[in-house]
Amino acid sequence: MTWKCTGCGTENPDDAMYCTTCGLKRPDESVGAQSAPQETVESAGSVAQPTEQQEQAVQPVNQPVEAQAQTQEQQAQQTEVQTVTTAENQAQTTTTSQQSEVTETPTPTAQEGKYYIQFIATPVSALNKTKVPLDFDVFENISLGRSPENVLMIPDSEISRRHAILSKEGDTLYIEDLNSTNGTYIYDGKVFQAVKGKAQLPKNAVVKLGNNTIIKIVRE
Amino acid sequence: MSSWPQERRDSLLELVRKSREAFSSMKPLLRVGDRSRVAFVGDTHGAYMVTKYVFENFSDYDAIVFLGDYVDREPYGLENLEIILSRFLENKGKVIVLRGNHESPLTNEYYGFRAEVREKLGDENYKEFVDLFSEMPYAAIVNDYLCVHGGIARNLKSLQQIEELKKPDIIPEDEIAFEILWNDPREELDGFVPNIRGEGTFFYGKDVTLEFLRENSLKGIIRGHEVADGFRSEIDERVITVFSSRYHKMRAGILLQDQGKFNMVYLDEEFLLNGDKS
Repeated sequence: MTWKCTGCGTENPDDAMYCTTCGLKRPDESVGAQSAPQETVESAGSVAQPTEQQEQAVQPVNQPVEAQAQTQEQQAQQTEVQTVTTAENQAQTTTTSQQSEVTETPTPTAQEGKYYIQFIATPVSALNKTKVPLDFDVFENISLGRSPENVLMIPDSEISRRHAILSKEGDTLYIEDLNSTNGTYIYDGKVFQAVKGKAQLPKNAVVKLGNNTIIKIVRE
Repeated sequence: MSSWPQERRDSLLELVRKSREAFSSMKPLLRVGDRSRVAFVGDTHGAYMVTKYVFENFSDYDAIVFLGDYVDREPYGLENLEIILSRFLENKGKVIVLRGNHESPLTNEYYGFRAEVREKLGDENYKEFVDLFSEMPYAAIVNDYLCVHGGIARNLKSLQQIEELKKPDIIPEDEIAFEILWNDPREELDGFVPNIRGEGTFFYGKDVTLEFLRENSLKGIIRGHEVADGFRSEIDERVITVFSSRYHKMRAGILLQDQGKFNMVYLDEEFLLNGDKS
């Protein structure tokens, strides 16, 4: 019996332990999973969880214990949401460890505000409106893509494994398309313009990744 | 799915023809006016148990507004239409039936309704539904809320323009008609931004929404079209999405308005999956 990847939706052969498309680990419960086509929608239904997940992300100390406490079934259900927040968890954890190492942490000036990616449209409707912080102090280059190796993993089968990179130089943000299959586009007020190589992002940029995901880069 | 007995077929097709006649004499925009108690139902997509629930529980309301998308996605579009249309014909002033983007051959081919008709009634009867859908009104104004499946369109400035839309329009081909069935609100955006749903569809942002509401003295927009756990509300509750289906595996919502005050009714999975399946 095939199993459906909770990250990108690919149908995988029964003997695959990892998704053949995005590399995400097979959920433990999926062995006896119900009919495939409804699975994704179902996990999209567990939206209630992102908040919990994010709260955990803010308090990395509690996180491992809590995560273990979750039943496997819950975890399987949450996988899709986690795909986005995992990166966040990592980012947060790294922040903490870095900050403890470097004693005089130059905290980003408050008035400048923090950058966030906000999801405007994705195949997982539950992610819409979600904001994910972009910590350029931790990751100089924030990679976006479908596979788990990215700083930010986005569950959309039309996004490439490694799709694009966000970077910050001074006060300017850039996005670089990594030769993605379906392209990266910046909205210019009229149409989505394809990004060739590296391009500067306007303020409050609206960016399309592939055909089905639109994000906005906000600062607040 | 199996073929329907002749009697049921005939009575449904009769219902469809009568409803088409009724729709064709209605304007594309229904100015319903003020009603003290109203129920708003979003996309049902064949979830006839939700439709049934609405009529069983809110029949004494002053208006019941269906926001479109009665067919496709689940193979009970005909059962759903059977209930909606018969109630509509009984009381056309009270049961408001609007068109959704799935009331079109554009989607029926890919999302199941055409196949459902083929199985249950025979493919030769699909045309009856195309004609029916092409005459359905696009929008209604109830208690100063614009009720429409998708929302506002790039070139839509006044309600008058909806009133003047041509019927029948099969796809619909008119740009404004198409967009009001297909567009989605996004409070995070400004202006109209190309939508991921494809060519000719747009997201409408906060600024253009507020401007449209101001210019037309409307309180807000009540629409369906996007999957939600019953409801989603944005721009300070001035745009409310109602989703009343079951295929999306979340709760079905029914929006009630009583003396101007909104109430949200949720039908959970228990009801949707184990409810009456007769």
